[in-house]
Amino acid sequence: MEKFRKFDGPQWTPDLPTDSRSTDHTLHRWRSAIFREPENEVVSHYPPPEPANESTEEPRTPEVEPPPDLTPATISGTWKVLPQELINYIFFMLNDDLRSLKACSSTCKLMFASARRIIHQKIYLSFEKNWELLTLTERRRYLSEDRVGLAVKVLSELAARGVLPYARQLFINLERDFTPTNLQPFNHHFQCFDRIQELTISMLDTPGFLESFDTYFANIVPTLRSLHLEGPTGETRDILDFICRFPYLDDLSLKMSIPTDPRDRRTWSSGTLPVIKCMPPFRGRLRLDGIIERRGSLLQQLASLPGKRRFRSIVFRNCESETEQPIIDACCGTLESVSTTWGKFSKCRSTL
Amino acid sequence: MPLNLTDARNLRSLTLRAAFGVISLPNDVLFQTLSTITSPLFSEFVLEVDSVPMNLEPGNDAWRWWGRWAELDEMFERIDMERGFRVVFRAEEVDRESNFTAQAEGQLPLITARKRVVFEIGPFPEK
Repeated sequence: MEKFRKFDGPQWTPDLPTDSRSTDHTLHRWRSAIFREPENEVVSHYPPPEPANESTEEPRTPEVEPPPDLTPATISGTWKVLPQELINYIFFMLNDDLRSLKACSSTCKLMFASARRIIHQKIYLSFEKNWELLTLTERRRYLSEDRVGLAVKVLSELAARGVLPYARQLFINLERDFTPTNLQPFNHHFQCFDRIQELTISMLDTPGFLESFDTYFANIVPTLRSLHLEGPTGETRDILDFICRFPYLDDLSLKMSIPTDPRDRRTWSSGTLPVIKCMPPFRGRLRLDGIIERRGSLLQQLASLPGKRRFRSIVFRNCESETEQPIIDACCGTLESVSTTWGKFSKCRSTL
Repeated sequence: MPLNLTDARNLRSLTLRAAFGVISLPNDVLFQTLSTITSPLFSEFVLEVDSVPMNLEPGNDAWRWWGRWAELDEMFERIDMERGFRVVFRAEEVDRESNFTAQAEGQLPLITARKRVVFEIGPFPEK
């Protein structure tokens, strides 16, 4: 920064001449703006002088000008003198280019510090990653259903690398192992996720986590804006209850597995709505996939919850049109786009 | 059963994803749904088609399943004259793209003449 302070050059963008004049004139204006030469030294070419005699064509005498300075500018200093905010912004522009980010992060400490917060903003807790970390003995234990202290071991690995505080999007796909019992030994690491904005959970043990919600998810509540649940277990009431415990949710995505056995379809009488302390604002996008319950459906219950839903966009996938309509009616005041599926569901339905 | 979008007064876009030609719905559901839209902001209809037949020859019955193209065409043209409109056809894989586009444009001659039909061949942006 010291080098910047010594620089005496202009710190503003000089005004360009707006009228169309000669190139020479433009150069003069620029020179006067950049080098702060008095404006009156610039010879004005506008308006053009009246010719003395229109019939005589005298050759124009070119104005003698100093030759332009073509010496290449010397750039002193390196990118290291840039303010940290600028460096962060440059890395932010590389958001989707993980390869470049990794290359940058291995260049030097300064780049490493800036790049890692982008590289690790998405954290995946997957069954495959967890399995790779298990030793042979642990794998044997895991296969014998003794999974406490093993099922979420991947958290320890991530914590040891110090990447948890950078996470903004968390994807949890540990199959049926993501339960309070399995998470408990690693909960002190899980509590490091305190800036998560988008959370995706597959096969959430909804009843289990509802009982001890504050123990595990209290750190995520203040910042979470987008929740995606894929195949959560439990009753529809519990699922809705879990969703509404995040009071700042804008986006919601719910993907339900289609039960092969009709007897397995969840039913829910309309008199058992969960007690909602604070209805999330739901100002973003709602995505519903595979919800085919007939009576007392999750969709109808979602639509009938108290409070306003201000979803601007709704995506239906494999839902029945009868269950889509209440959701559309509940959000009609703010709805800007609707995407629905026809035909495919009809084929699926015929195979059930 | 068509959707009723009458009360969605801010609706700008409707996207319909359907299997091409094998839809087991009454063939005027599309028209009925679009007819319910009263939003003064409605300006885009997207048709995402799955399962485009491999040999989509002229005269293929697949298009008829959608039905009432002429009325849809008039509706789209009227909206376009009022406030601008575009129709987007999306398909993930099309065997003969030129056949597909020509036939789609053939169903909607009025809005095609106004250059408001867009084709996007490739993966769907949203699964």
